[in-house]
Amino acid sequence: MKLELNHLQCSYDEKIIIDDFTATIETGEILCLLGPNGIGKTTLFKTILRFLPIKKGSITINGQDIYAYSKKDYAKLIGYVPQSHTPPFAYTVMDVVVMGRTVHMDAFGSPGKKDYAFVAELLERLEIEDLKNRSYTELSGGERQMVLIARALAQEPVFLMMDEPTSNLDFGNQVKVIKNIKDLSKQGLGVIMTTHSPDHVFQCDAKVVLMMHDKRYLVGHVSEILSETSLTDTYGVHIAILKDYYHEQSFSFCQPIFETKR
Amino acid sequence: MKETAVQKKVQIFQFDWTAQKNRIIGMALILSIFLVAGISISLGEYNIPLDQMRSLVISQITQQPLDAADQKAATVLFLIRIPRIMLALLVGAALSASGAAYQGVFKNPMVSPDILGVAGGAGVGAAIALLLGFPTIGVHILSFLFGIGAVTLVLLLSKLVGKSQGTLLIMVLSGVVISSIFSALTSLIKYLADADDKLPEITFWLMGSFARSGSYQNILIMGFVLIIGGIPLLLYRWQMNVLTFGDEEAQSLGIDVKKTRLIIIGCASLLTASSVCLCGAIGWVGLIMPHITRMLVGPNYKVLLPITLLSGGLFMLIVDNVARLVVPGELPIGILTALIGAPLFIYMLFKGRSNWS
Repeated sequence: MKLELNHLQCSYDEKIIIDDFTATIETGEILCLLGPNGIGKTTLFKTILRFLPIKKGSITINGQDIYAYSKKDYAKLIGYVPQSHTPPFAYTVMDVVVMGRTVHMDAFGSPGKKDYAFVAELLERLEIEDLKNRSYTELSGGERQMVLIARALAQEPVFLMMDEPTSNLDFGNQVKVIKNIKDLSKQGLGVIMTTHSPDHVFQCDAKVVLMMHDKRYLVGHVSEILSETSLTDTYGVHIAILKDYYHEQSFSFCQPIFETKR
Repeated sequence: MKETAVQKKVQIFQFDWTAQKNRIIGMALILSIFLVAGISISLGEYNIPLDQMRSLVISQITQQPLDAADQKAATVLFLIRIPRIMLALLVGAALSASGAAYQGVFKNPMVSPDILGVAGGAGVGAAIALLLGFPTIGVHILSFLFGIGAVTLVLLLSKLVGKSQGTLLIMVLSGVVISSIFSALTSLIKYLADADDKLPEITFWLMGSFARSGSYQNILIMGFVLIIGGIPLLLYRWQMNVLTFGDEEAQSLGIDVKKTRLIIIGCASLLTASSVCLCGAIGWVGLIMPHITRMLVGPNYKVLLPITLLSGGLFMLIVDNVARLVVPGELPIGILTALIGAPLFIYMLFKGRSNWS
């Protein structure tokens, strides 16, 4: 399946934030949205999720306009992993993840044995089954992120939208989440994520949209798009890209260059 | 990690235990309701011993004539006490369920029909209808419209002040403001009311009491309202869970947020408004009963909502017994619920503060 953004214009509070934005993502791919604060990553994200209306242009899935899908059908196509937050009530992890099954229930339905079994198996697959009976409000940031990923996966979506999935996580958890995202895309899921870290884009070895000032967008594979010039231009600080080898595997990563006086 | 068969069994047992625990709590509540209702029937200023009650019930069924003493007992039993007990149960269930629903739909554990101004608004609507001499159905409709109006105002105000990110506190404060406007309107209506005729009627009714409202007609009204307001809430109770995560997440999980929220607010406001029409403003029940129930069975509305109907009814019945038994004559029940509810709420604020930001 293919998600296409064609000459999209998005606005927030009547102000045009994104203009003439074109990109595509297929199932099995990862698309990273990279760019400085306030460039419109969230606006774009929310437009794809149908939280904000499309101003101009179109978004299609499988060639069909996203607004042609019913609310329920759309939730079966796109799963959303928000940044973790605290809900007002102390639901158990099981309850939270089972909420992802809502799209597969009847209008007045509540989860049945099958849904609980599905979720139990899903938690096992994500190796977080020991969290099952814990209270969601008592979890650490990394654990919450995994639970929210599990909830979105319980929807059995085709695409997964992740809003800064690595923010507020310690280094180990960041690596774990990135590994999970790569595994999910290998299993055939299309993943769209926003991130503040170019290194994560290298680590995902993914397609990237570099969002620059003056509504310029560079779209392509990370190796083509992220360069010393483009990153320095985007962030306004000097960033070099280094390449190194470890056990015959090559790795690229970013290094800010601090000008030192001689 | 491979689990052994024993570990698997232990897990299954644990999982069943929570479901079993909730079932036991539900059964215990139903039993308690019957038990307390049975005791309440025989207690009162006019005591009706059990054997007399039995003979009264038999003679009522067989339509046998009664002597003078029995006649009086029969009147107390069938026309005053039983309807009053039934109404207390229904109103308690309605207020508690509407409180739980508001808390879910506004993702705010600190709101209730009183705090959102619904009770105040419904009171003003009903008072205006009484002042204008509307028929019963008109009183209920006007009260419902004012209740819905009040909650809409609170929502608008907290949206304007909080700029889309309405926090718990802003919503509560908006409720305080709107409630105070409605309480001023109530005073105005009282001021305008005819001091001989309408004023006492409105004043007594506003204090909140089951003393004058327990009639079979009112039970029919409240029962009907509980069915048309309560059943949609029960049907949407799983969706309420999802709504507590916020509009965007609920939408991404496949919920029609606007429609669902409208239905839930409408039903909850109907339950509150009709309770206020029949028994006046009985505060605090809609705030504390959902909380106490949540402590017992957890926050999942699938279990919470049906259990809170039962616990709310039981609580109201017990408090009404205290209202009519402790003091000779009668204590307005609104005074008691406030005296019990406020300290309980403070206790819960302390207990739950880690979860509330």
